[in-house]
Amino acid sequence: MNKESILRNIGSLPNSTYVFVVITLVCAAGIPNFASANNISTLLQQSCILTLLSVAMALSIITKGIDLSVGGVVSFAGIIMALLMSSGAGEGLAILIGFIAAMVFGFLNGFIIVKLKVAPFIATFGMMGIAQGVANLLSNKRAIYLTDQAGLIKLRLIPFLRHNLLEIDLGGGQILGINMIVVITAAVLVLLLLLYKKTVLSAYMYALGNNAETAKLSNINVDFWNIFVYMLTGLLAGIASLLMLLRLNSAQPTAGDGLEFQAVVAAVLGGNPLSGGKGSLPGAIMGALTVFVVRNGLTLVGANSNFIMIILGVVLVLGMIMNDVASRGFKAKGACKQ
Amino acid sequence: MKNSFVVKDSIKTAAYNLSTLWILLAITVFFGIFGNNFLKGGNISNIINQAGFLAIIGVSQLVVILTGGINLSIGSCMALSTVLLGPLMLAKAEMPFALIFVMVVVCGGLIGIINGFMVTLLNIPAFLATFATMYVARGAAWLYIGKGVYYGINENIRFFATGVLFRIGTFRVTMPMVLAAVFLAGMAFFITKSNIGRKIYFTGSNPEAARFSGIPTQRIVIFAHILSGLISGFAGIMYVARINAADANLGVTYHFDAISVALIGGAIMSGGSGSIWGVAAGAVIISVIQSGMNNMQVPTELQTAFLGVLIIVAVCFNTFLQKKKIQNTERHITDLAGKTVKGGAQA
Amino acid sequence: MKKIVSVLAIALLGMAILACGASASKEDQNAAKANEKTYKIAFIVKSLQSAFFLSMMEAAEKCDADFDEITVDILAPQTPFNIDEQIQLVEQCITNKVDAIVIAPCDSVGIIPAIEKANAAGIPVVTPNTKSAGGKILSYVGVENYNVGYDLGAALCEKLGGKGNILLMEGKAGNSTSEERTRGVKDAVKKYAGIKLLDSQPTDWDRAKSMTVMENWLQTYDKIDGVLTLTKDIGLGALEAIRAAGRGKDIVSITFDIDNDVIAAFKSGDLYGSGNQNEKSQAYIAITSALFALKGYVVDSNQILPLTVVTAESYK
Repeated sequence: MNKESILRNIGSLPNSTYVFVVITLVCAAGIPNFASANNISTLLQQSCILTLLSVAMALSIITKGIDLSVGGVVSFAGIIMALLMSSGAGEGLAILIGFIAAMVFGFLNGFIIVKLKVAPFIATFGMMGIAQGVANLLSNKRAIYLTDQAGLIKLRLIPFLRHNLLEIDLGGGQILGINMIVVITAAVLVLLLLLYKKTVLSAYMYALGNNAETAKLSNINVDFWNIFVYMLTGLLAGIASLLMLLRLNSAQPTAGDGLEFQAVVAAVLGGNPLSGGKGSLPGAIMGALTVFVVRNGLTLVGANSNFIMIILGVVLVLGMIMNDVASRGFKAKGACKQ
Repeated sequence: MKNSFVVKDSIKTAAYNLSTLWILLAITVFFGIFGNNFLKGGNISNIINQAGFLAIIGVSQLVVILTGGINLSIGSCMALSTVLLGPLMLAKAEMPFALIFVMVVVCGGLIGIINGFMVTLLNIPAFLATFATMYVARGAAWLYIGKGVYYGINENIRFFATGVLFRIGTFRVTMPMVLAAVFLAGMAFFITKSNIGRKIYFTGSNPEAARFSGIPTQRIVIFAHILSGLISGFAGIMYVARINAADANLGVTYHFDAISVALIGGAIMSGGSGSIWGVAAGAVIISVIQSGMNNMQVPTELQTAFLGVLIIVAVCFNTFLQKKKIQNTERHITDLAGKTVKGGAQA
Repeated sequence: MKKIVSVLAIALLGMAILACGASASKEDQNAAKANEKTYKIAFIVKSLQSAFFLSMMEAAEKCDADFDEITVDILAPQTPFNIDEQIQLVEQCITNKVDAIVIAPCDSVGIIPAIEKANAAGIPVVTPNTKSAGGKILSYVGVENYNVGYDLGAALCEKLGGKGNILLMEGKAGNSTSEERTRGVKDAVKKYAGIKLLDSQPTDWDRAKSMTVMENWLQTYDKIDGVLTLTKDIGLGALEAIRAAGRGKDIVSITFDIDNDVIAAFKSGDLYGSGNQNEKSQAYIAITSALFALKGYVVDSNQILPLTVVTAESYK
């Protein structure tokens, strides 16, 4: 393998990978306990929700849209699932209906954007308010607790999904635990990436994002695919909502507040420009992980939370600069040899 | 005959242009009928007074949206610039208003410069750059103020946000109304008539074309961010004077309010479209809704949902009217063309 | 090559920042207490962006200074009142092997999984201010939020002589502290047949928003006898609106929590009363309870502090 082809291989990774690797190495070198098995287990578990939402956001961003309703849908779908479970419906059914409700929200987003011709930012911004309102209305503004002790309902699936699938004892109190939450996320991401790479989906999405008119002329059913993308985004938000339910073992009407902006930030950090037409799903995953590595590392250090806000802001900016430099550096070198 | 036809048509076109006003009229009538004594002078004065504050943060958002960007740091910028100068604003500091005003606004402008540089020179998308500023500025405000609140603001400063100039019946003409009106008129003039204002619109609607026609688009974007920062500083001092306290918690959710105001007022996120008067109408609409919902005792959990529906409906209605307007203009042109042909045949 | 160098330069910068954050909080403490037996206690609040929790943090810092054998790390979620971020903080504390966790949960129900994790790791948990609905808690220190609402509601109704029109300002819709207190107020008001609760609205714990809501109410209702606000930030916002309308003399105003700002309002005569939950004591007692338990002493599992309604008369 000569130097050029190595550079080309590195260049084909999403830019945010470098940001992620550098920051992780910095944290691992400088912060005690960061690279411990225990911490890695929790870090993986914590970042799952944002990772799913960030990928969902990347999907809508690539088609030149945006979905600000994901946070609202996380709250709303979780409340639906919890309400159904506590009213005695089967857990599987409750989760399924929660997913469907999230997809209906996605469909409404798509419908408003495609058929009523409202700009995605505005349509989903409005839908965010609606989702939050409905979540508060359904739950009577109170958390719904899933318990198998106080209630008459015996939950089986939820406790199972909250457990570690695998625990590797590394000795010295260090246990690498792979939680079901991580397994679910990994499975969903693998399926999604397969769907994305192996089918026409990615080609159509890039076509939509680059030039909807041209896409229409080349016989792509633009309206259908646009709505489909928003339904997919809704479904991912629904799955994130299930993960939130598992983590909290309850449903909160305000659980998803603020997640939409964090998801946009993670997706953009992962190299998905808001102008649409390009971007990468693995990049979005890296973006979300980067955000969590920084947060996790700084908490371990015990930095004052005000400092964390400032440093997180600075790291976001540095990350974007590195993204930019990397895309001009490695990519240019790889590309000119092709 | 012909004249009345033209007049009727231009009235139609004007009506289509005023979509935001129609929405305002519709919801006002709605609350007027179903509300409890909603349309009395005192209440209208109250609504306009509140809208003045919202309009200022709306304009701060608009100038950045016009260039195709977004500013999420408005609330943090308001907090940081007022907290830094908080000690000087207290009654016991006895500082002249003009000096404090200039310092706070300049402080906001400095934060705007940072945003502008990140967006242009460092090539960071506005969404992410201003999100980072939102975190950094808020964190810095808390670090600076430590554990406290500056309360008891100088009465001279408070007068600009709470003063009542005169009354017409129960309708109070307040200082914020006058300030907001002067500010909006000034901004409207600046942004539509001045050279740099037109360049902002051009840069937003088509950055490529603007660059090729020799407009320094980077400098224009930086300018828009600075302007937004300056206005945020102004909004900050107005809010602090209103609530009689400067604390780092000011405006945690105001980026939402600012975006809502601008969007209901007809601004388009991709840039190049939106007007100051639209934002003013948007601010009044949100104030009417808030006041109307308090008036009618709408269950609290429905308020966000209602606002969400309204944003979507407002924009749909706007698009609908714009389409009508284009059809109307097209028909008008064909009619005129037909008449000319007929006239020619007669001669 | 140039590009790679610049990447490295940026990486170095990042490292420098991390180092700053690390040294700022660690070095000073470690240097002073290197020889002592040190317990590490994590103190987690609901938000940094609220004067109330800053007051609790002040007590926590005092505790850190008063006892040589403990180091107190103060943590808070970046998104105010966000329960998932709070759970993340607890998880980090477990990884960091702190000796005890003192946490004011954002939500009584949502925090349970985190408490269970701490229990599994054998770390004692003390909850000041807000109870956890489950898990094993070493001690709870504070007042009941339901009682806060109930006592304030009753105090207002008593002051009005059992009849009149009152208004209630809540915190954020869906937030458990706000909902508990609201429930308490509503139950208290039900006991007084002559009292009419005209309306109850959320204000997001925001001073400017509460002022707007109050202005709207002042326009809507000609006869308001009392206003109850669930915390002092929104209480003072409402008070500004009442003052501006010149109706301070007709409206009895009650709020919750006390600081200098509130005392100034007492002295001006516009505010009638405020509940005091002694948040500084809550934090201090909670941390010392954790310390005592670590040293092997027995701690009461339910340390309910007195809830007092202070009135303007005390400041005359």
